Amino acid sequence: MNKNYVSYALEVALSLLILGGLFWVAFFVKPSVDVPSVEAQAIEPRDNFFGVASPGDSGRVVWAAGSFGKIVRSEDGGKTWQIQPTPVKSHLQDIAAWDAETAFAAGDKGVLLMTRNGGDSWQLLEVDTFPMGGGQFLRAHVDAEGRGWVAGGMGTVLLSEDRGATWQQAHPRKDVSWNDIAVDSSGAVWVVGEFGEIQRSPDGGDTWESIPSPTASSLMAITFSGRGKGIAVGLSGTVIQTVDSGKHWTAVELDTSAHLFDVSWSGARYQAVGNGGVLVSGTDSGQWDIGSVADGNYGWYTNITATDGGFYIAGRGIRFLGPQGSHAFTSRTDVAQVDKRESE
Amino acid sequence: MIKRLSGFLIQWRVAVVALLAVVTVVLGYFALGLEVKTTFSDLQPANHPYVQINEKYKTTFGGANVVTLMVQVDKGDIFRRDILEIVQRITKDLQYIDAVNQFQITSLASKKIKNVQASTEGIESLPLMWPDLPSSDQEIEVLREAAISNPMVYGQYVSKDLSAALITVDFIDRLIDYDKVYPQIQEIINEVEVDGVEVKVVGQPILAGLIINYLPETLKIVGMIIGVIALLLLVTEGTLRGMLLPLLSGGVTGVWVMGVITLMGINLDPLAIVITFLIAARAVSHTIQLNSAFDDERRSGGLNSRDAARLALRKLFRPGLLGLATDAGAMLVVALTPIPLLQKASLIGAMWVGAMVIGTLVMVPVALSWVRADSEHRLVDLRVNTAVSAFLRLCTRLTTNRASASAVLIVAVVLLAVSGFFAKDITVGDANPGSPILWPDSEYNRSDASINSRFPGSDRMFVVIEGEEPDALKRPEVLDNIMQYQQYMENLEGVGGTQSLVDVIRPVNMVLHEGNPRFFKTGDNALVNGEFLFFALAGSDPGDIARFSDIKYQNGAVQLSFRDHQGDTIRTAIQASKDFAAANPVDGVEYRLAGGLIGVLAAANEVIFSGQIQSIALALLVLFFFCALAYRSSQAGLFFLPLVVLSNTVTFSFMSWQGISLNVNTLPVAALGIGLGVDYAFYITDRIRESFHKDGDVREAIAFALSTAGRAVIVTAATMIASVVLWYFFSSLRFQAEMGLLIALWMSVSAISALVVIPSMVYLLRPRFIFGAVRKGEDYSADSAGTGAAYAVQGRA
Repeated sequence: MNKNYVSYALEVALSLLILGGLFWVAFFVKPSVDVPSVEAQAIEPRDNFFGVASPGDSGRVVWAAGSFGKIVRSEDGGKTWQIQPTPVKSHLQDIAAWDAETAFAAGDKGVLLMTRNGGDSWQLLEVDTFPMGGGQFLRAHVDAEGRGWVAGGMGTVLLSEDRGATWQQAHPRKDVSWNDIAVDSSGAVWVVGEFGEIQRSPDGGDTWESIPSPTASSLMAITFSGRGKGIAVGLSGTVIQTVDSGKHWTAVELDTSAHLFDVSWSGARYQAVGNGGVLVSGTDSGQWDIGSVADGNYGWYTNITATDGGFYIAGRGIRFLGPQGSHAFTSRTDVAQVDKRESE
Repeated sequence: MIKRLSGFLIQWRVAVVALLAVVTVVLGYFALGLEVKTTFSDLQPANHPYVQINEKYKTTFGGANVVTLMVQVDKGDIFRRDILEIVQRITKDLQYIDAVNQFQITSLASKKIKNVQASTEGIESLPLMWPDLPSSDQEIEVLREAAISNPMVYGQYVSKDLSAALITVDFIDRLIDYDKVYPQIQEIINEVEVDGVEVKVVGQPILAGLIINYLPETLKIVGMIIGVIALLLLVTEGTLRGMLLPLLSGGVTGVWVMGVITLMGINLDPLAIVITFLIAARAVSHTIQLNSAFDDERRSGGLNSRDAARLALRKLFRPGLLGLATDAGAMLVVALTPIPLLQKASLIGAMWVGAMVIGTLVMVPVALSWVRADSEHRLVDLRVNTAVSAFLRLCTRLTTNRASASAVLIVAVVLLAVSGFFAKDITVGDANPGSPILWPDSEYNRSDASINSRFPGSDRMFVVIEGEEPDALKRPEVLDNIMQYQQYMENLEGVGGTQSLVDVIRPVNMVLHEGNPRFFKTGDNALVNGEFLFFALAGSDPGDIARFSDIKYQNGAVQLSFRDHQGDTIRTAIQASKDFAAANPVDGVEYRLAGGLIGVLAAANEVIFSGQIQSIALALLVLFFFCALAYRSSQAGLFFLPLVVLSNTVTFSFMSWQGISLNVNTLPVAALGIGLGVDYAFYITDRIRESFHKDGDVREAIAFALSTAGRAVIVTAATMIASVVLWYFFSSLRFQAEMGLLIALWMSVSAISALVVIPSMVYLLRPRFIFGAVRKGEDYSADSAGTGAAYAVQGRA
């Protein structure tokens, strides 16, 4: 009989346990699900990189700067990229480097960032800017003598002769945006800007003279190949050329109306990028090709930088243009696949 | 009570049958008006916050019923006059489709798609290709350039390789009739398609229309399956009544339920047709039990048909009722999941099973009482019976031996553990890209993949940004926050792209700066952004910006395009949105999730996810209570639980193995199957109990139960399994094929556990509710002793 009671008690206990368990599950268990957290990628689909710099000629170290204060860096020629924290959310328009450790970036709202440790940390520099648009920095440049230059709105030209420690205005205030700055082999400083304006300073920015321009279209970039030869590019397919150290500039007629935003000299050819994926290349002797950064690529690119092996371009993403063709850098695999189809 | 009732029913059998016939005719008449259609609102858990946001904003920010068409060329690009003409023609023709939201037809050829241009006269905002097509090669070239330089077009409405153009069209949820939309769109496509040009189309309305399109095929399969069931029943049962009664019972109860739901204004979802077999199988099962009990009584007691029918009714009424009540209870629990589709399925299931109390437990014995048993002879005899008997003897030997019965239980426990382990891997929401209702290589899913590889994605979600005051959306910090949200979301694998007010403003700023992309950004203050918006919208209809903002710029939306609607994709996107909003708060605005198809699916998935475990637990509680009550023993409640759990875990692990996920469509199968096969177990234990109280021998009792109720279990299971798998072989819809397999598996597990596991448990555990003393009200002594006259007297008394 005892045994019966024990088993009966056991049974009741078990019933209550299971019932309780079911009730508990039914009314109190709130299932949860593991959702992978979203990692910020170095190169995101929505990123715009307006500037790219590659100190030295090897192309191993690459910096790119762009929207929302984003700076990324690669030390293996673009295979992997790391985000570098910056103290700003303003868009960065350009980046330039003295070497793999020292670089500066310039952007909207008078932002000038400086690093001396390869970008592990970026400091915001205090600079005086012209009112009413002078805080709109557009280009950053380091010349052969190691001077740092910034071009921007309201006639802004900033100069640093101490590797970025101090900066001063090197151009009077003027209601024109300087879209690019370059230094030729003779040491003269050149700026180009809105309405086709060109100015030259023979003395490192102390004095400036206007140079007659063959175009009224805004000029976006200027570069020199040496031996007094150089070109400037601009909106609506504008290309102008000089062969006499800039005394005279002549228009080059190209069969494109695409905006050209930047041009670079590789030592053998000029390469210019712009909108609609356009890639214009040419030589001082006047042979020009109009192509595309990649078949089926219609993106815009605002910056092109030459290295030994080819060019880095930045804009709607970052790409490398080499002798074997062109490829995009991305952190997203599916985007890479789409791009692959584009180039097929 | 049952004794009296059974006597009474058989006594007045003509009246009973006449009454049922009248009811069937009347409800059958109503059932003719049954609507077989998909209603989108059926998928939506109405009280879920996402659904409420969708309801609140769907007329402006775009609802869940979106159709996406892609015009694609084999060679070259779409910037050819004939191709542009096709795009324009489709865009125009779509306006005349029923229930279309005419303000939400977007393509290269619609008025909404504009280019902001700087010209000598100032800033202009002109439609890209409206009202007229470009007439010369030069104009086409201009259009191409404009399309490429416009981020709202390039990659969005023209593919990045320029080989395809997209047309999207919204439908008004409450007006949409999937039956009409699908053929109408198909007609538009047929009219424009020429060599070298393909038009592909996807979207919720197309999917629903396709399913309706397959309805004739579905009905053909239904007819075929009923034919096969009839044939199998004829082979196994051998007699005309053995064939007809199960079908009649399932059919008549079905007619009643269809009649009643039509009167209640409930429609039948086309995808639910396969599920009706899951329910009707119960009628077949109970009928075969009754039929076989009738034969047993007649043979063993030498009774006439009326007495045998009365005894069958009397003896089987209790286990039958218990089985039906448990089933119905478990189904009703599903109604707690607040998704109308599930609630309807639950209601239909419960009502149908409830109707079987009359339509099967009563009607079948009454019908059997007319059998002229003496002159009846077997129509077919393929010696199936011999094989069945041999199998049942094997089951008996297996379960009435201590060692082998223990082995059976150990196997069952291991199976329970293993399948339970894998069952938890089941996914909620869709498990694969494309629609799980169709095969991956179906035209629809191939179109889906094709469109999603060229464009940001055809499935949409909108996230609302609610501002506290007008013009909140013009504030730079708000726009920056929105932009960063978009950037964050675009990191997700499943998100193909996003659009917002930011994408309207940025190009204007760029155009104002001579097309310089360095100014592809929003303005520095609210005033400037207001000006940009003014330029962007100059000369346009007020509705043109409606996808992104209301006219007061107080509440806006981020539109996200998804490459697929897999459960994981949706959950990740929702979580990421919540994370971002929590980590990046902005004063004066708040993020609200989430509208569009993805928003609604997210809500449904969340409800299913949290409701599924609850439903199963509640169904098990229902089972426990009914069993405990019926046998007046908590032991009985415990006894049957593991069986139900076993068939559930096996089925769920099969689903996770096959990649069949739990969603609004598959859940009814899982839910209506939960009590499936419980009746097998009840019949078997009842027979064991009956025999034991007569003879006092456990082994004998199990042998008896298996040879009577067990035989019916085998016939039922074999018949239903062999017929439902036909879905797998003949249905063009993957959903039906998979559900056919699933139902077959479910029935197999239930049958095997009833035939092997239950007897083993009984043999080893000797539960008191089976072997205990006979209580008052139970009367096993009257088995075959009574005469017709005696019962007739009792019945009248």
